Amino acid sequence: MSETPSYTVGIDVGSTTTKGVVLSTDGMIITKRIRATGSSASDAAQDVFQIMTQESGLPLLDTITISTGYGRRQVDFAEKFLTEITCHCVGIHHLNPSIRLVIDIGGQDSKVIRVNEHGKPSDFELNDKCSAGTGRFLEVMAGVLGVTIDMLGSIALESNNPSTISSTCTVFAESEVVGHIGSGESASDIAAGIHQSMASKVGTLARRVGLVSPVALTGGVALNQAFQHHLAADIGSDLWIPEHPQFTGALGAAVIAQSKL
Amino acid sequence: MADKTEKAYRALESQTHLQQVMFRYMLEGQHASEEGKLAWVTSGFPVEIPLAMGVTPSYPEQYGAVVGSQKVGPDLCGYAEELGYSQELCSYARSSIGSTHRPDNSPMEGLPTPQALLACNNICGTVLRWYDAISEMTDAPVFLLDTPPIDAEQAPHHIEYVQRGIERLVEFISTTFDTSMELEHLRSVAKNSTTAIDLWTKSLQACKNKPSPLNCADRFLTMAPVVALRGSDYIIEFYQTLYDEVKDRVEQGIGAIRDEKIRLLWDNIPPWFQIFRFFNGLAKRGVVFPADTYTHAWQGSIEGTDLYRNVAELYSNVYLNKGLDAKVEKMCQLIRDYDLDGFIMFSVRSCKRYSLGQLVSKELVTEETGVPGVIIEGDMVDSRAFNDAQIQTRVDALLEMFA
Amino acid sequence: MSDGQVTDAARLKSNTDEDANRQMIGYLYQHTPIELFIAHGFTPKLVTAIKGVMGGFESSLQTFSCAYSRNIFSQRASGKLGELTGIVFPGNTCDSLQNMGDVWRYRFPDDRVFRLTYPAGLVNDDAIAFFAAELDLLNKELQRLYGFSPTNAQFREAIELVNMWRLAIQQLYTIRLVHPELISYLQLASLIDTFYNHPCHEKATEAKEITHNLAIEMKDESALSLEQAHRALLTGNFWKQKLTTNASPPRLVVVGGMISPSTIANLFDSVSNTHPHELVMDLLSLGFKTIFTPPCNTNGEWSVELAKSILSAPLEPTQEGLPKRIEYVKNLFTAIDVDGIIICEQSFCDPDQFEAPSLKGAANQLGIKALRLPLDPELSDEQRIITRIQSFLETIGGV
Repeated sequence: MSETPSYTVGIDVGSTTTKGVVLSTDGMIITKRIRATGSSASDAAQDVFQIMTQESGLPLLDTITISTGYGRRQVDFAEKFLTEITCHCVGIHHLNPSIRLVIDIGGQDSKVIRVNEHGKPSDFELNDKCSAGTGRFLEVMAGVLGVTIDMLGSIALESNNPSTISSTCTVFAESEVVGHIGSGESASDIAAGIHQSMASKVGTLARRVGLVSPVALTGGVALNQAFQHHLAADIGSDLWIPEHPQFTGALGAAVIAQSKL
Repeated sequence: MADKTEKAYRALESQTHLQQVMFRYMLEGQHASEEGKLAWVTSGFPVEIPLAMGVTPSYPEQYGAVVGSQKVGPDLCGYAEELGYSQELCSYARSSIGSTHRPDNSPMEGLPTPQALLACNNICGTVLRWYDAISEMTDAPVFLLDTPPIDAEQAPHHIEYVQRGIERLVEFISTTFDTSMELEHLRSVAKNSTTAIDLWTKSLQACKNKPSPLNCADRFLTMAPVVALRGSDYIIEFYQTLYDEVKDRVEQGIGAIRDEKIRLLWDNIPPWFQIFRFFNGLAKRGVVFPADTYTHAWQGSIEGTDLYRNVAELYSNVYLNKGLDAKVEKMCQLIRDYDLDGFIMFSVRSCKRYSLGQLVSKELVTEETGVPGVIIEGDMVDSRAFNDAQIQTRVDALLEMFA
Repeated sequence: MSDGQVTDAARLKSNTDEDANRQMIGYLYQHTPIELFIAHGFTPKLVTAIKGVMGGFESSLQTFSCAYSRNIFSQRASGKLGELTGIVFPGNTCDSLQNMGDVWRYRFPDDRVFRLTYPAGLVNDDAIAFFAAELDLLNKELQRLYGFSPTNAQFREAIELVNMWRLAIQQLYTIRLVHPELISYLQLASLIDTFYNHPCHEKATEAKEITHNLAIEMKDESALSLEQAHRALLTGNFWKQKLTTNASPPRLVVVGGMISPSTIANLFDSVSNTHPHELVMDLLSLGFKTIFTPPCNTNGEWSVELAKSILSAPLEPTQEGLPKRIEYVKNLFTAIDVDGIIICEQSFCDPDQFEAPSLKGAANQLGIKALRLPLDPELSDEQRIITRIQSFLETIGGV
């Protein structure tokens, strides 16, 4: 390396999707990429990295890459790997330094992170092994209702009277949903109930860490307006949502990489 | 064939009387708390001791049942989970921690503030840790009356130890509440207790008749005073009224349900949040529960010359403080005495002491009595851990065995 | 070689020979007075939950029986427990183990199952008398079944062996707390495990020698001497003094959980390359909480003295009540410069799960970061566990 590169790379290998960000030293995203993780974390990371190399036209191998996410150790071209907790926290601080609490809903994990004034995590909680408060929960429920995951959110918005889904276990909730279908409740009310139930589970996790405003919501589920609505109602606080909420972790990794240049 | 216009289940007339009694319990609790004379106690605590010393008891477990019946279990348990208590812990404990944390959002604004917490581990080991948690929140001191579980027979050193515990309890109450014990007073409280329990036992035993005059939900509701108010004089009248009504039903051949076809035993605490829906749903199909292991737990009387020793014996030998042998024996005995056709065991996630062992005892009871049974899993307060559809299938499968 | 040394060496040899023929007796609760079994000529072996055991309990225990009890039951059901002549269950320590003992007797009717019941609550003369009587009864039962009555001298010998070993390990804990660079947590953990699985003179002597050498090596720069620090840990009285002087890299303490120190040591070792830290102390049930039992008096009635010793361990895991434990923990954390505590919680474990919020609260009050770590002995979700540990280290140490 003759001179210091003017950009860094962050790769977030999640359970469902792999995200990559190339960040310039003046804090602008040069390029970003998302794809399904599939069965090989290292292939997904490699693929994202190559496409970003082509798109940016930059020799990305010459700079520092930091990986995060559950497959972070599979990224052999990364300089360092860090957990999603730190990367989400740094990522959100880069986008909006006023945020004090990050709620991130991933495919298999949900996490709540307290952010200190320096943009570092000061406390956090993760969901237990069960998938009830994660993206997976919505996927399973969409399957039961026979709609796509995108439709699940939009039909939920039409409901004025959400069904009660009280079970916290995904398997139990599934049979509750089946019961509601059987008793003729509308798909829209059931979908709203599903979002409400998930919001309440995530809300409890957030209260464990302690609710402090302003609150950001990240991860793929952050794009789901029905979930946004029910979570905001449950925790009694507005939510700040980044333009590209799925990329927060990868962005954070790239930001940290800049300190290593 | 039952008249279609009539409900499958006959409500007890004594119910109205029960509400008055429980209302008085609530008022007395609030008053005692204001006077600085209130103690929270566990359901198996020798409550005759504090009562005889002028201290009024309140029962968090009974409060848990109220929380369950009002279907706010998930809310109150949720308040405790926000404090960091795991969802895997006892839902009675979570309800009381939750209501202590957020009384304004809880039924009856929670239980009145305690000045002491009296726990006896004859019903489970959880109570010690639960009451410690409450003590941290309220600053009320905890007294643990340790009654180690009994394997077979109660050994002499065991009874000696529990008796010393009773003596220390008396000292603890004397200092904490600035009061003293007069044995004559204990004797009269014990007499009230015995009278109420005798009447209660007679009502339970009347269910040997066919049709059974009481169903499960009837007993679970009417047991509240014998749990919460044993030793007070004013519950005797209630149990007399109840017994009169039960006797009347028996004499006239009136059953708790219209059309009794199948008689089952119930094991464990009920799902409070659907106590009527569950048992009345089965009543419609001709299923009655003339006996259960839970409401039969309050038995025996304090008497004799050595009162403390007698209290120690009585409260060490309760159902839940004994091994699996004793539980199996009790269930078989109830099945024989009450001429039951089968049994339902409720495997309650909250209650490890009551539930762990059911997989074995189910086999043993069937082997011993020849009647079939089924295990259903769920919780008594936290309806989030109760799967209707799954339970329905299991119960249906049992009932099909009798067809 | 002096006469004394000859005798010692000969005795050590005869002990080793004898060892091979000794029958093993399993025990589930770490606070079991193993001295009693040693005096009876058995090798007591701690039966713990192990990795990779799946299935076997399902037809006997519900899933809400604690992870520890399910694991041990599954080991028995799948024939993985090994040759044991008997097994000792604790009574009155928690509901899962209490009821599992009953279920075990039905499912494995040929097993010799003993139950030793503990008093609960604050320790007083009544509790000691009760537990001593329980020990006497167990002794009689062993006599009846195996036909051997230990002499007073044999009891004393067994007590002295365990005393020697405990003292050595307690000193090692103390040394590591003050000078973590002198002995790794992994090495300490393996010494603990070895003794619990096979207590004998050889192991005790080994631990004693290691301790002796380290104590010489240890330059006394700390605020308190080794002896003072050791006594402070044992009594919980820290005289508001610091036991340690250095504080880098991040110093961690692991609390709670029915998990062996070796398992913990391996988990933390696997992240130490990327996230430097020192695990200076554990307050695990299978570690500190059991090891820091005061020495048993060799004069006096053995059962009473054993009862006193076992029941007066600080932080005795399930018995003494929350306020006393939290007070101890707060004093300890103040005295030892700790940057973070990790609170392990086993699923469906009453003691762990009831205590965790209070432990976290205590850490918050002291301004120490705390992580709650769901941790089952199967380690079926090892990667998740490691991620949590790393995240926590990132919150403490920065990146």
